[in-house]
Amino acid sequence: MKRVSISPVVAKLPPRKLKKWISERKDTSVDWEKEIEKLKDDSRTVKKSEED
Amino acid sequence: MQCNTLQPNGSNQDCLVPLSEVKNLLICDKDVSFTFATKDVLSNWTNLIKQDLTIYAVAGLDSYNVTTDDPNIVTQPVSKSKKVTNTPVPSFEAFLDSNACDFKQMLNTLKGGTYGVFYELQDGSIMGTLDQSGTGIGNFKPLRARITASTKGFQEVDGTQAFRCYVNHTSYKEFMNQFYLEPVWDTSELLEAMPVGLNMVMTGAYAAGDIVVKAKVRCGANYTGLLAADFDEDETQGNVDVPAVTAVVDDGGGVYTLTVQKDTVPANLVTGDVLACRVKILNGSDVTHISNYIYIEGVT
Repeated sequence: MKRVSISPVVAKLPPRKLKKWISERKDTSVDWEKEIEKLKDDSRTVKKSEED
Repeated sequence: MQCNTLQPNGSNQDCLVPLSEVKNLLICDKDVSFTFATKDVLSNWTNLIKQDLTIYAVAGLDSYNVTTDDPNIVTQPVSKSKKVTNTPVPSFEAFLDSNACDFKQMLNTLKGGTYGVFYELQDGSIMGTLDQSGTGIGNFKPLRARITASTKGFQEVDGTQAFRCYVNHTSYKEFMNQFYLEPVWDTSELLEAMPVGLNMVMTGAYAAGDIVVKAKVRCGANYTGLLAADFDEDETQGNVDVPAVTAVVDDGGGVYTLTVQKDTVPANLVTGDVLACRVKILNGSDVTHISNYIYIEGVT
């Protein structure tokens, strides 16, 4: 199974620019939106645990 | 100029220690320097190896030749006595105990530039030079040398000298101030501190933001599990602003599809763009794995 890693720089893009970035990705076997959501969730989890 | 008082054997003749042969050489940045007080501390050495990356290699030495020229000796025409008229700067031809992948990296790096060299001697001491002038007085430093790695292409039959490295020192004065550090630690500790070397190659041209690379442990197994954060871009070697590996798809078997971009809002490289990146895996501040740089050219 492919493992995907995305830079946090991408997750921080504003929605329209993020959508454009995703549309430019060639590898259609990767669910880019889902991967970016996972990244956002991870960073929220990290932030939350730092706050705790 | 006043000459020093000659003390050939010193006053303590029980303490005559013959000069050891060279066991190894530590190639480093020419500006590496330890204060007199900090030079003995192992962590000060290992930090330069695995954090600052300024001591590059504990190169295994298979054999070597001292290639320093003999001084010119001129017979004076009238007195017929001989006089030494120059002081050749020491030089050294090293045959390295290496693997082809590590040596390839040396060929790509050691191209005659000026580096520093500490010599590990057979008796466990480390030879360098002790600065005795200017603002760095008392600092223990490597001897400066122009270093060129060279290969004849093939190993001679029954030979072991294919991996060559020419070390041509640049200062005689540094040898006059040579200093032997006798550490309480074993120099094998330095080897253990070195990051694991990875070999990375591009397997096709850059297209639509992506390039496929293959990563292996040098002369070893495929290297899997790399993440976007493991790639290190060097702005000074390329010509784009904010270079970044924005996504990595691990295709298995050490093959990765990297999305390589530029600018604050990531955009694909275009013709004329060059971006340098390598693998640099960190554990805290320590570099655990490092690869060669690859130079990605934008193609539209």
